[in-house]
Amino acid sequence: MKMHLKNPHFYLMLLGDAILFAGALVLAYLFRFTFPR
Amino acid sequence: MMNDLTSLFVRMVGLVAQYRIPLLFLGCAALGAAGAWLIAGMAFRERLLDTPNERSSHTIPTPRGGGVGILAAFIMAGLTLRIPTTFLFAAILISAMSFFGDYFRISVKFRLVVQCISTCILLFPLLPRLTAHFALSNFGFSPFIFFLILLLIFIFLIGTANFYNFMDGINGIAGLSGVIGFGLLGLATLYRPPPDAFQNALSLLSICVSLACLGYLPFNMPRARVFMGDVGSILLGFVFAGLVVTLSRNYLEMVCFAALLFPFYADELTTMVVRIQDRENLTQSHRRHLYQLLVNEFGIAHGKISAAYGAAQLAVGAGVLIAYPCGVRTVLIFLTACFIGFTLLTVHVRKIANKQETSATTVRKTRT
Repeated sequence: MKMHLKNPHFYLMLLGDAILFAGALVLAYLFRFTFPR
Repeated sequence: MMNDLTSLFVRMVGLVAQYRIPLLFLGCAALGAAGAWLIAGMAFRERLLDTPNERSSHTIPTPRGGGVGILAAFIMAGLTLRIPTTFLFAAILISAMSFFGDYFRISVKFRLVVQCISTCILLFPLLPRLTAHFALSNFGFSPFIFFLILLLIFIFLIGTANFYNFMDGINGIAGLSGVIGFGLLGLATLYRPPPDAFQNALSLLSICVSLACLGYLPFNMPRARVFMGDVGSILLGFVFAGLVVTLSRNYLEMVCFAALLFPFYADELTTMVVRIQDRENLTQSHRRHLYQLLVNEFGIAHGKISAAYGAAQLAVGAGVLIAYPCGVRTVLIFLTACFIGFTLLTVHVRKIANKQETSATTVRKTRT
C-alpha cells in the first residue's frame, strides 16, 4: 500500500482519471442541456 | 460579431439536442478508449504494472485499470439517460471499491461486504417490480418461495460481478464479451411493446456500455497494452446482472437475458465443480478455467480463444432469443443442451491437459 502512496506517478494517474470523469460529467451536462422556454 | 457567435452556439446546442443519442454513443466509445489510452500511454507507470506470476496467462508486465474509461462512460450515459440514482450509485460504489482494490490490498471479506451493500441498494427499489413478477408467475403465493427467489437474484448479482472478474484473464475476453452481451441485451429490449420510457433508457444504457467496451477493446486485443482491472470487470458483471433483473418482465426473460453471457457462467460453474472436487480454496486465484487451459496448456493464441468465446456467446444468445417466444420448455431444453455440450468439451480438454501434465512429470522424473 505504502509503495503506491510514495510513487508520484500514482498521483498523476489519479489526476488523469479525475480529468476523465470531469470530461464525462461535462458531456452528460451538455447532452442533457435544453434551453428554458 | 456577438450575434453571430450566439447564433452559432444556439445552432450547435440545437444539433446536440437533435443528434443526442448518436452523440451519446460516440461519447461512450470515446471515453472507453480514452480510459484505456490514459493508462496504457503512461510511460511513467513503474510500480503500477500487473507483474505476471505462476497463476497469470500473460508474460509481460502490463498496466491495469484500463476499465476506468468504461466506468466514466457508464456514469455519463447513466446521467444523460436519467437512470435510477440507486442503480448508478450502487454501480459506482462497487466500482470505486474495485478501483481501490486494483492498487491496494483489500480483504475478501471487505470486498464481499461492499458487494452485498451495493446489491441491496440496487435491489431495494426493484422489490415492487419483483413482487409483481412473482404474483404473475405460477409459483402461488408462498412467501418462502418469494424469499428464495430474492436470495437467488441476490446471489446472481454478486456472482455475476465476481464471475466476470474471474473470467477476465486473457487478452480481449472481457471486452469482447462486454460488446456482445450488452449489445444483444440492449438491442433485444429496445423499443419492445408496450412502450416504456424507463426500460428504453436502460436498453440504451446497455448499448452505451457495449460501445464503451468496443472503444476499450483495441487496447487489449490482439496485444494487451492495458488490462481492464477489477474497476472494469466487476463493474461490467454487476451492471449486466442489474440490467438483466431490471429489464426482465418475468422469470423466463430473466433466464433468457442472463444466458446472453452463457460461456462465462458455463466456464465458471464447471471450473467451480472441479475445484470443489479437488478440495481447493475457492477464494484463491488459479488458472483452471477452460480458456486458461486452452491458452496455457495447448498454446492457442489469446485472440483465438476470445473470439471463440465471443462466437459461442453470440450463437447461444441468438438461439435463446429465438427460442423465447416458443416458451419455457424450449428455452430450458436449449440451454440444457448448450450446457451439456460445454461440459463435455471441458471434460475432454481437462483429460488431455491432465495427460500432458502426467507425461511431463514422468519425463522430468526419469531425467532426474
